[in-house]
Amino acid sequence: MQGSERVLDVRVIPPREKHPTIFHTFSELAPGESFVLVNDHDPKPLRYQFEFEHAGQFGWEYLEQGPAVWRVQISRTA
Amino acid sequence: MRLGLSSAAAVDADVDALLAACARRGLAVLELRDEDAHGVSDAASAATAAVLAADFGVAIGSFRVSGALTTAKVADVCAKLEAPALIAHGSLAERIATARGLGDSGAGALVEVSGAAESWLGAIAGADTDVAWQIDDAVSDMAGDLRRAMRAIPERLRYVRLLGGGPEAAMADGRGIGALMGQLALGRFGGPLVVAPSSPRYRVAWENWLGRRGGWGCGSKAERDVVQLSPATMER
Repeated sequence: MQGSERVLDVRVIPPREKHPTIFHTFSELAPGESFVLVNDHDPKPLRYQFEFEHAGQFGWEYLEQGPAVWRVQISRTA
Repeated sequence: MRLGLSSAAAVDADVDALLAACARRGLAVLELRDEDAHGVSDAASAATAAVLAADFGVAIGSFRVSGALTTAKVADVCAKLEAPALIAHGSLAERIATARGLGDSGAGALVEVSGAAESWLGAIAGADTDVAWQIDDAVSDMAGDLRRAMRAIPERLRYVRLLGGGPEAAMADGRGIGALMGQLALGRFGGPLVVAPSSPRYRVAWENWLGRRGGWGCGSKAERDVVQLSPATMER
């Protein structure tokens, strides 16, 4: 089944693989493309890592902020 | 992709408790297996479950059939649940035939396959049925198998069952789940990914994860951290 948007739900990913998976998925995006990250807590540390490693290249928009699920649209801007 | 829970995670829970656990965990989909004690077994109980599911904002992902229920009965239950049947009994050829029979009666059906793609892709590629892939320990290259399946049967892989997600994720390091999830996202997979225990020995860990230890009752708060699978949380 093909959905209209890319959704990366990291809740079932082993902790050590989460950030590498997210950054790999981001690396596969073309400028203007995005994916929706789903997590069971606010991924603030991930945002800090994006700001450090991809400053000026990404967009970050909260679509849902708890209490059980956080959904963030992460886009590649450049 | 929508993350879901199988009733295999709490085999003695009724459907109300399963739906509450899904809502508590933010899971969008519930899979009901015919052998579990959720109470959905005929059209009337399925209709009640459908109303409850709507109240909880959870979709029934499938009614998984592992026993010899009649096609008419499965079709009735699935119609009320507004969910496809997940055919998991018999040989692969028999599953395909059962799914076609359900399709002829107007019900949606998925043929369950399991293990590495090379073990089932050839047989399923020539069929016209939708597919649910159960990922177990026999799958050593999850992302690679997913790419092969998406190329061979585009649009027909509609459902994924992951044995060993949920509270078992912490010990799944190196199994390839991260690569699988990345591939599902990049491939715009829109179907359910349902997690289920890989073994009954993890029953206690799943009960903890679902907030069941200490009761399902109102006000009980699920522990959101991944349960550490120390010997104390495993049932041997």
